[in-house]
Order: sequence, then structure tokens, then C-alpha cells
Amino acid sequence: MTGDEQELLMRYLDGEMTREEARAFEKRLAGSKELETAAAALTQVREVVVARYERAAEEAAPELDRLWAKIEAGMDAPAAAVAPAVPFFTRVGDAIKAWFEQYRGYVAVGAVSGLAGVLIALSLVRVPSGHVVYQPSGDPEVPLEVVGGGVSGGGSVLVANVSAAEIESLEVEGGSGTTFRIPAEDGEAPTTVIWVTRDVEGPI
Amino acid sequence: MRALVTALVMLGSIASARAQTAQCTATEILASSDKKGVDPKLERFKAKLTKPPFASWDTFVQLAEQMTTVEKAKPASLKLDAGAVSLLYKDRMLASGGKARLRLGIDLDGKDGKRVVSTVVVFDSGDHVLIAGEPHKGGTYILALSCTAQ
Repeated sequence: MTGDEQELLMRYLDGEMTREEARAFEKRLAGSKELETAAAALTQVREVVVARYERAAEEAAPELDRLWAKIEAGMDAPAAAVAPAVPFFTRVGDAIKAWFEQYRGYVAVGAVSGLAGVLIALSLVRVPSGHVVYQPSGDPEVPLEVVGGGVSGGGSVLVANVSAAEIESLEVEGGSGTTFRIPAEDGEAPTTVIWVTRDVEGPI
Repeated sequence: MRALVTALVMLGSIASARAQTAQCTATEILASSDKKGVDPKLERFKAKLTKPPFASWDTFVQLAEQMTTVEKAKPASLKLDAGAVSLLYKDRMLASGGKARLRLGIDLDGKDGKRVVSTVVVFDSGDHVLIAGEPHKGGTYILALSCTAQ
């Protein structure tokens, strides 16, 4: 597979092609076993990462719901429940209150989005030990575990399982790296795989 | 008595020197879809290569295998079919069960000499770390690295 083809494949999988380009590339894909295999492997890698993100979002959902309910309860509270403002700041307080009344929807959405971002980021960095996030084959006996993804230009992945390999740092020039674990067999430790996806073309 | 002390000191020095080195093996594998199965030389990797994401290919050929002894804090380079790899044995720890755990810096360069991957991995003595995904010779390149503390 040429670097050009790899770039086209990335664009195709990212949905960055026009309809005509995508159709032309699909024809090319159908005619090349190698390209088809690379597409299948890349799709698997992406599914693992997407599954991880979705799982993180699902885990964060109940917490976000609770926060949202709290914000809504606060917004619906009667004005009498609000403590009277200190006289000196009355006008400023009124102005802020008026501003908040006008934009409270945006403020609440901003706060919830920020919290969601923090929760997802924390969840992605700290993967619990033995936390299987993806079973690409559909067979529960062969789970594939992602321990970190999308590391580009430097970054670290924390791995909880002591016996498995830990990636302290990972830099992929002109691309990104995704770290997987292939489950252990016969008393062996799980095998850690660093999957390299480069944005730039050219065979190694 | 003096002879005994001398012998003990010598034994200690030898043991210390051994703890400062590791025997590393780099196995280069080419994955493709040529329906030729797994190279018999790669029998020990077969279980791993038949699982996702490697299950997308049906042919795995060993391109080369090299061994080198790395000394602590001294970079060692190996010329690969796909470029070169530099190994830096950084540290040795004791893992559960008395097994040694190694901290290794790995820099993988392409044939053009440009850096592809730079990583620091901590793994048990004898375990494998695989670096994969780059296109190479019409297939996909896999580098399996393993080090055993001495």
C-alpha cells in the first residue's frame, strides 16, 4: 500500500471525501485485497477507541444528570430564597442577576459540557485494571483491551495491571499511536501492542 | 580466609555486572493477506497473531530476528529490515513473584532514518511488546521486542 493510498484511506474512514471521491475510492477498495485488509484493521482500531469514548460518556451520564437536576432546581427556586444583596453591590448584583436570567441556559450548558469534558478526560487517562472495553470478534473469550489511544506528539498512558507492560511515554512522528492489550494465555502476561497510524505517507 | 573473601567479592561483582545487562530480541514480522498462514518460525506468536487487530491478516512471515545484549544506560542499535531500532535499558525493578521488570526506551526509525516511534515501556523480563501498523513491502510491519534481564 502506498502512502498515497494510506492517506486516501484515512480520509475515507474520516468521512472527509466528497460523495464522488468516496465512490471512486470504494471501487479502488473493492479491487485491492491489501487495501481492503488495511481498511478492516483500521476500522477495528477506530472501533476500539470509539467504544472507549462511548463507555466513558455512558459512565459520566448519571453524574451529569444529577448535576443538571441540581442546576435546574436552583434556577427554578423562588426569588425569596435568594439571600438579599449587600446594599453597596445591589446594582451590580442586579445587573449580574439580569445577565444570568438572560443567559442562564448557556451558562448551564457550558458548565455541564465542561464537567463532561473533565470526566471523559479523567476516565480515558485512568483505565481500571482488567477493564475490557471491546470485543471485536463478538467472542467473549477473545476480548481486546484498549489502554490508551490517540497519543500523538508525546503523552502518557497509565496502566493499572502490574504484570502487563506499561507505556510510560509514546511519541509517534507525524501520526498517532493507540495502545492495546492482547489477553494473556497460559499464564503469560497480556501482550501490549502499540499501533502506529501515521498521517504522513510512505512505507517505513 | 582471604581467599574466601576474594571469591565472594568476585562473585558479587559478577552478579552486579549481570544485573546491569539484558538480552533483547527483535523479531520483524510482515503481515499480509496472501493466504499462507503463520510462518513456522513465528509459532510462539501464533496465539497473538490470530487475535484482533492482527486477525485481519492471514499471512505472517518472519522477516528477520536479531538478538543483542544491552547494557544499562548505554544505547544499543539494531539494523532492521524496515530501518533501525535503538534500545536503551533504563532500569530494572523487581516485580511480583521475584520476576524482573525492565524499563526500556525504544526508538524506531524508518529506512530514511526518520524517527517513527519513540516510547518508554516497562515490562516483565521475557514478555513481548509489539509495535505495528506501518506499511512495509506490500504488507503491514510488526516489530516484536522482548528483553530478558540477566
